[in-house]
Amino acid sequence: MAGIGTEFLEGLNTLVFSSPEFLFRYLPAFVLLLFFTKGKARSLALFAGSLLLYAAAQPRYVFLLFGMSLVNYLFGLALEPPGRGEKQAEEKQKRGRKTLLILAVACNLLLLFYFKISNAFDRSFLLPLGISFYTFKGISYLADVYRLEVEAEHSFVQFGAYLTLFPQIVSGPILRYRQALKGLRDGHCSLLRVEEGLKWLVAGLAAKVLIADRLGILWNDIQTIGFESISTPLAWLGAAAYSLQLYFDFAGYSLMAAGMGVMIGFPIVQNFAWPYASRSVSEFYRRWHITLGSWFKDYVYIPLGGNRGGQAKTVRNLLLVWLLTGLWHGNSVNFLMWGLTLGLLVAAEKLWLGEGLKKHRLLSHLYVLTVLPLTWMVFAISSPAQIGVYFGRLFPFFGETGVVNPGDFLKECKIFAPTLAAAVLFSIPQVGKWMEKHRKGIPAALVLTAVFWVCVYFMTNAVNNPFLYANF
Amino acid sequence: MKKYPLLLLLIVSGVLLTGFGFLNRNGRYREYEQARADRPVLSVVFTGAADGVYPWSSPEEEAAPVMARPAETVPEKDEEAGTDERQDGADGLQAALEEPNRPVPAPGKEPSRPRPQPAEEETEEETEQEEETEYAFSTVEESYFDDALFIGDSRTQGMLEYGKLPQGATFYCKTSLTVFDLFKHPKAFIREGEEKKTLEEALKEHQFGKIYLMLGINELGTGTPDYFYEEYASVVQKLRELEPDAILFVQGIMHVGSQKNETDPVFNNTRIEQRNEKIRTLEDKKNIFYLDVNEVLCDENGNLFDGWTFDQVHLKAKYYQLWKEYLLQHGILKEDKAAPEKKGAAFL
Repeated sequence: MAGIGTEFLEGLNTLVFSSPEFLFRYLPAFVLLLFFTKGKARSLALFAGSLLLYAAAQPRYVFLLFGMSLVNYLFGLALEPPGRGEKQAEEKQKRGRKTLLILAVACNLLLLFYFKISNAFDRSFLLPLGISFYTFKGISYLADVYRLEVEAEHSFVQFGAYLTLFPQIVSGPILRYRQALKGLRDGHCSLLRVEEGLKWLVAGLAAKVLIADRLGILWNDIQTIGFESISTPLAWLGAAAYSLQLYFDFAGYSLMAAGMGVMIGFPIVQNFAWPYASRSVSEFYRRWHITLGSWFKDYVYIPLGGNRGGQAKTVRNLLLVWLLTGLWHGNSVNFLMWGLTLGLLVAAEKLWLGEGLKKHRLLSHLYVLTVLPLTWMVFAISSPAQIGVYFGRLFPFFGETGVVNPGDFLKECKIFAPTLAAAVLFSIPQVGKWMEKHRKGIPAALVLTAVFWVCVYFMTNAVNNPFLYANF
Repeated sequence: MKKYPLLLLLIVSGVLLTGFGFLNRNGRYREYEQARADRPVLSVVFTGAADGVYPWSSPEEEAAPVMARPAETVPEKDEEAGTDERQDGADGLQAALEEPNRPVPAPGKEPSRPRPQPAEEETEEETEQEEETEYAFSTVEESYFDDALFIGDSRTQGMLEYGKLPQGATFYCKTSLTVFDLFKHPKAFIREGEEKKTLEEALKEHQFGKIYLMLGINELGTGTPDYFYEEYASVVQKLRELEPDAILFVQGIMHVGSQKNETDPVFNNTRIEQRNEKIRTLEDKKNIFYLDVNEVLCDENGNLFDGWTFDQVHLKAKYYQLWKEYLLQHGILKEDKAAPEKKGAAFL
């Protein structure tokens, strides 16, 4: 998952779903194992299997993951409310629980900060795979137990299976415990579920391998040329291509994760809902990486008071949430800038722009499709000086800075036009919904099989050249 | 089938592909098999397909391997990071990549001339060359490139796009081009109008005053330095035969950046230098000159300057000027116009 902020850092020795090893070895082995196990044995298979897979990808930190499973499990038990007793004791308990929750959350956050900060100062310091995701899962679980929204999990194996669940360990989605509960307890793997899950898996694989990875080459080309030497049309093309690449990369990954989840007995988790069809930045982020957005809403924004404290407080809360979102994505300055920009945009929409955007359909789409790629450039480029250079090319009011080849735009267009066209097409909600509707039956299966093997062709031959995953 | 069509189709096709790969492990896929021991068996079918060895191509076709790969074989051909990744794509994609070469300049050049006699039997130029003078580098004007030909891989492609060389300069270059593609297993990589030509075909039609060669990075994964040198030397010889009047500049392979140098077992500067040492021996200071642009592009450790390259292999666009400057400072002027003419004739 190159491209998504944290994965630049966490992805050093990562687990890549779109690799032949995973698809032809680990996954079938896993599915078979879960097919033949039920109940407690299945939970154990899930937990142990997920840990094994994690160890295969990044042996160094597997004990950390195990340790955090244990710590959060114990915190969960400790946070269980007491039985009904005397009022005074209950009051005392309540305060005790709050302290405990703070302690438990701090424990998760400190760990996350420790690794992120160490990595910020020394880029060779390896981040534990998926730590941003499993700490957030842990925190949501603990908070929900505290709020009495879920009961604490009494089986360590079952809780471990939740926290380490292999389809989600690398890049989410951040499945809430209560959503996972049914799948954890009574879920099972059946042929029908495998059949259904495979469809999502193949769709996600195609998004990742056939679109995102291809488009990634364009962004790589632009960096190879150097921002100062790209023409203005190419700068815009690059911003558009990067925006689409990021979407297909992450949404594709989420679809694969969802598909695997379905196969092994979990409900489908929707992490993306056609975000580029949004009509405001706020809407975009309700439809992009949905599980992260709702996490921040439920565990940061609302506890801070949400929009109930007047305009000033609302803006403060929004900015805070977005600064944290930026930091969560990565630990360099540009992510702060990115988060802050989005916070300001969302606040501005809330206060002034929202009504206008609702009224003007075309204008609102134009606004989203211009502003978002620009914000993605801040996300993509880690050095503020280089961000300046790139924006200088997007808006060339100050003349040229490098050696520009005016033919660069056409050259890249020639290469990437088909991929870009496909990306745009599959970003349209109606197209996606049509495919979803027609996913059953033999014709669809034939198409998906063909698509799958084309993906394998690209995967197999890209393994030799994994620049997307190396050197970052 | 009705209930689980996708699952069944995937399993059946997967089994078929695996079986096919397995049965042909000593046949069409023998070159891929050992290197892929850690991969699923069926992946050989796909790696093969990328090299043009399809399940439906006849065994005879594949019996002639695309490239002899002695010794330390690393099967992948295009390993330059970055832009070359696109090479792993389908042929259609590849075709789109082959940049139209800059139109070959006509002025002052005979469009065609009789093909020189094969000079193979001659026991090399030594006897003749003893009479020739040795030349030293001098600084030249940009117009020097008006009758120059640049042959190379994606780095030369970068020079074409960002070097801002005069219109007269000609480029026969293509991403992932290797010395083996020139004459040994000639690829028609030169586009002239609608036509695609091999180097030999193109050189038969055009004459050049200078030829600059920059090749060798893609070959790092193929064979030994000696094997590479053998082919490089025969390319040089062939170029001398085809273009006897041209001054031939053999350029040392441009280094890679420090990050790559330290981490890549194949594409590192130690291995590049091994080969540059060999290329250097071709210099005779009379017709063939060795140039090492690394002198101006590398830091004291011999790595491309940090910040001058993003992908560790290619210069950022604006630094191609330094390469060009270097070439301008290392021109060869053969004052006596008549001499090379005569020598050319003598050579024939």
